[in-house]
Amino acid sequence: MKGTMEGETSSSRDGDNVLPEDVVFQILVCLPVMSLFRFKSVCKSWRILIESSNFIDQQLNHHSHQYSNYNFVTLSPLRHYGPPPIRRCINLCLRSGDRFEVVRFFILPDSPGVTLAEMYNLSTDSWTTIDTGVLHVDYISSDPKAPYRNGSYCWFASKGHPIESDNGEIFNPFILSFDFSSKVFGTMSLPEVDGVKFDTYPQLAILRDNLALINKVDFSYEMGATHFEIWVLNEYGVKESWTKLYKVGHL
Amino acid sequence: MKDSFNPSIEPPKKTVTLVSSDGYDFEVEEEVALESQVIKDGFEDKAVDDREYLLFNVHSDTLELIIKYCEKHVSSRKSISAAAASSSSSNGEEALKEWDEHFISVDTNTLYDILMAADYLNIKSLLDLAIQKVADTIHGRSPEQIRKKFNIENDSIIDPWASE
Repeated sequence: MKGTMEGETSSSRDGDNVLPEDVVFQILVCLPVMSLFRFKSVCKSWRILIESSNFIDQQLNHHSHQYSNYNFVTLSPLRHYGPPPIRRCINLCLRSGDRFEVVRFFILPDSPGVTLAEMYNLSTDSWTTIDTGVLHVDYISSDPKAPYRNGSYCWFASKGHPIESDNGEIFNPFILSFDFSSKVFGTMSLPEVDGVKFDTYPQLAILRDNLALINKVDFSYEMGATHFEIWVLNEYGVKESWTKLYKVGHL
Repeated sequence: MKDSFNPSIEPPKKTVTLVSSDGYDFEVEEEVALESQVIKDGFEDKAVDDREYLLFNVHSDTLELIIKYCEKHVSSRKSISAAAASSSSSNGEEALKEWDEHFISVDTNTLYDILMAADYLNIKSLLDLAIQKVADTIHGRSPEQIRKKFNIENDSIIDPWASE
């Protein structure tokens, strides 16, 4: 099909990879929100582009066919954050409506029991403090698929640390929710059953439009006696409505 | 059109000549060339003996790849619709997706060339494919790596990620 090559081996272009603006736009539209946060600092024009409402619309539109939590990212759950005294910072990045938002928690080792939270809004490029009331969170499970239901995200969280619970330290697990429209945190109780110990890292999910919990029950003294329980919260926020739907034995 | 595909009894295909930036002629079937929206626009108004296109921005190396892509897509579309017409099961779409993935797995410079050519010739499906591939390769990079890759000057006043 093609004529003889006359020692033609050079690349088809001499310049650098300078992309037209519309192509850059299309590439950035394909990227997840966390990359966009980072790429805002590439250069001014990228920042302006990423923050434009036209871009945000297109980006949302592009990802809308995917899993609704696609752009939910939990950054490394514990992250050192300076300057000293070192605060442990938990970042939860979420997308709500047509905005990109990040919620971050600060856990201050020298003032136990105090939880600070801030919310970042991409369109205004600013952090605002969120009232956490008496909320006491020491641990939030890092779950990139945290269930989203009626405008609220839910995480498995606890007062005290799961890894320390074996040493008799306090460990009160609960479900932490955050409503993105009212910007209010809430907590919900786990099912209360005598003798059932909740797994250190239970998974939350949505099952038939309801919040569900996958609990791994591990009887370590019996080899292979692990099983999973699937609980569903039939009425959102009502602790008594937790129902054990299935029990799956070890395979 | 008949279901049986026998090239010997088909009428001779109409062709179009594409000329690369470095002066090579590529003779391709009309329907292959029409994958490009730029060629398609106003194609019918052009005289049959004047169907030659000078592609100043597309090097022969890249044009060869672009033609390969268009030929594959034209033939796959035919076999997919033929399978649908005879209601026989076909994994044509899946196979084409796999072919695309393999096709676009090229080095950075080639990917860039394909991207620019697809943009220039306005071949929507190829442009989408190349754009997604670029997005996949850059999404985990740092701003500094991005600047280097795209030769962008850092004009941001503050770089909150610089210390990481």
